[in-house]
Amino acid sequence: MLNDSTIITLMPAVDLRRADRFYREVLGLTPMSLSENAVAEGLIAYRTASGTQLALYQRGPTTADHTVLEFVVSDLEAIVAGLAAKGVVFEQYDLPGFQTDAHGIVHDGQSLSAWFKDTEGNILSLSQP
Amino acid sequence: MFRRATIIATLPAVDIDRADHFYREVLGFERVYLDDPGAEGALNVYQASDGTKLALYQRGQTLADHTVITFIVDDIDAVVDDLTSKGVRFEQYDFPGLKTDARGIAGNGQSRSAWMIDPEGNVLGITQLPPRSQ
Repeated sequence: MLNDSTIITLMPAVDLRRADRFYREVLGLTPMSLSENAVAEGLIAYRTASGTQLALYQRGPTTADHTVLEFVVSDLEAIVAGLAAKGVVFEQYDLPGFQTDAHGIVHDGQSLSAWFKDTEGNILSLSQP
Repeated sequence: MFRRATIIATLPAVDIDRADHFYREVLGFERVYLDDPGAEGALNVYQASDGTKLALYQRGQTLADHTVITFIVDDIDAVVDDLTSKGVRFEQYDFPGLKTDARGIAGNGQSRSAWMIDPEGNVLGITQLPPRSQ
C-alpha cells in the first residue's frame, strides 16, 4: 500500500537559510513554498522538474556518513563542471576498483557518478546511468 | 539543467536481502532494479507513486539518527493500521509539540505523521498532509 505513496527524501540542516541558498542558487531547485515562510516553519521542500522531491528541516548536524540521495541526470559531466564553477567541491575517492578522476567522477563502463556535500554536511551524489 | 534530475533516496542496509523482504513484502513496494545481487555493492531500487523511488544498498549499519525519508499518503490511519497488522511497530515520541497517540500518530493540527524503523535501522516517516496542500 505504500507503493501508492510519494517518497520525499528528508535531510537535516544546521542553518536552514544557508541550506536554502545552496539548494536554490547553486543547485537550482525550486522551493515548493515561499522560502521565508518555510524557514520560519523549519522545513523547506524542493522539487525537480520531474516531480521528485527533497526536503530540508532545521535539526542540527547530520550523523549520517552515507550518501543520502542520488540525482539521476543525463549530462553529468556538464553538471559537475557547472557546479564546480559555482564552488562545489567534489569528493575524491581512491579505493580498490573505485577511483575518481581529476573532476571527481567515477567511470564504471558507460555509467558515471560523482559525490559532493551540501552546506549542511549531507552527502549527495550525481549519477548518469 | 539540474532541475530535470530525478531524486532517488538512498538508504544503507546491513543485509540487503532482509531489507528487500521488508520493503516488498511488508511495505508493498515493487522492486524495479537490481544491481550486483549478492555482491558487496548490491543495490536495489523500489518504485512508489509519481515516479518517486528509493534505493537500498549493501553497506553496513546507518549512523543517521534522523528521519531519512517520508512517505506522503492519503490516509495515514489506514496505512498505520495495515502495517501494524503486519508486525510493524511505530515509534512513540513525547516531546514538546510532538506527542504520538497510542497508535504512534502525531498531529500538529495540520499534517499528521508516524515513524517506524526498518530492519536496517533507517528511520522512516509516514505523513498525511492537510487537504489544501496536496
